[in-house]
Amino acid sequence: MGSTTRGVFFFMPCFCFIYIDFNKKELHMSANRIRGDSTLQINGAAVTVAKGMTLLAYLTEQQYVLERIAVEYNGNIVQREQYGKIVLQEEDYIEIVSFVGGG
Amino acid sequence: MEVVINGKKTETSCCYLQELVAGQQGQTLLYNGYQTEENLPLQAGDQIVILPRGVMPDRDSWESMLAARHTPPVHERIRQGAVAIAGLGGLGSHIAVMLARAGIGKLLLVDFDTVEISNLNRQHYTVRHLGMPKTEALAMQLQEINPFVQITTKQTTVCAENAAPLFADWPLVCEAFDNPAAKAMLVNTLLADGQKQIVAASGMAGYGSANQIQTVRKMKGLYLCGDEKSEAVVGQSLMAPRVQICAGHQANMVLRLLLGLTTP
Repeated sequence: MGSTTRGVFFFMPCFCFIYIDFNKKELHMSANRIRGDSTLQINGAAVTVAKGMTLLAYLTEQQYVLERIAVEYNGNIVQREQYGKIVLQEEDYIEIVSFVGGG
Repeated sequence: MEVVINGKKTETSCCYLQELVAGQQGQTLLYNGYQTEENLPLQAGDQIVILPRGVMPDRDSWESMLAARHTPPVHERIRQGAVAIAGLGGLGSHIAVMLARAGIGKLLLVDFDTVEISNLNRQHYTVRHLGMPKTEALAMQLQEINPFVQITTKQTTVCAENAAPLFADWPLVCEAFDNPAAKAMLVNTLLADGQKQIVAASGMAGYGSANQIQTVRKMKGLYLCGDEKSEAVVGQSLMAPRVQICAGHQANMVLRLLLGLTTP
């Protein structure tokens, strides 16, 4: 092993460490890819869901009453009949407003 | 120097306010928007509004009163404003009253219901309105608050089928329904084309802290007022203060939007 090769092996872990530190999001996304999850923004918070989950499945899982909500999906209002057709994607941003009675 | 009296530029040699209005006793005096009886020194460009006390002034005096109160550019934008109010209960009736007082140009008032005794704990109606359609009872009151607001009324139930045509000419809509499914239906229907702005409400029942009621911009076209939690249910009914606070949030957001401000 030449001195150059030895140097590369010595420095490589340092670079990896720096790489990991500065690319947490990247790493998170790769971990998601391995596990088959998607991380998206829902009501301003990062939420990880199983890959392939539909908007309807998420709303049902979270026990939203579908008649009482409005959903903005990546900047546009989506209607109730579309919820089942939308598959949640990495980096989607979703706002769900759930109305309570009174006025 | 030149001052503005009741909207008209006027040359005067007077140095003090009381000197200027001498001989006009029994008048209400607004000096740069503030009601005063003091003898303040005059400066060029001062806005002075002199209104007869106890009688209805003509439209010009009325407009100059509002312009003096709110400043001319603010008054002009509100006067050009048109707002639809969906639901004329505790929220809608008060929103309409506040916007009429602020000098709004046009209002569309929509409700299917009539005034009942159970409404009087929080809605802007009185005993004399019992049994009347809310559209009519409210329009009557608004005409007495601001005779120059143009009012259109629709006594109908808003549903997914008629919402879009009903509000087609109204880019700014206040959601003021009671029923949560109706609230969601209106927002979903009217925001579908991405053109409208809705100021909606959710969570204002009971007597929890008034400080929890706030305005939040939830979506591109949706502002939401309320605490988002306090539902009208058995044991937690709607009461005048929180409902009116929430209506105040909605009316203020409407004014902000009319004045070109998009932050809550």
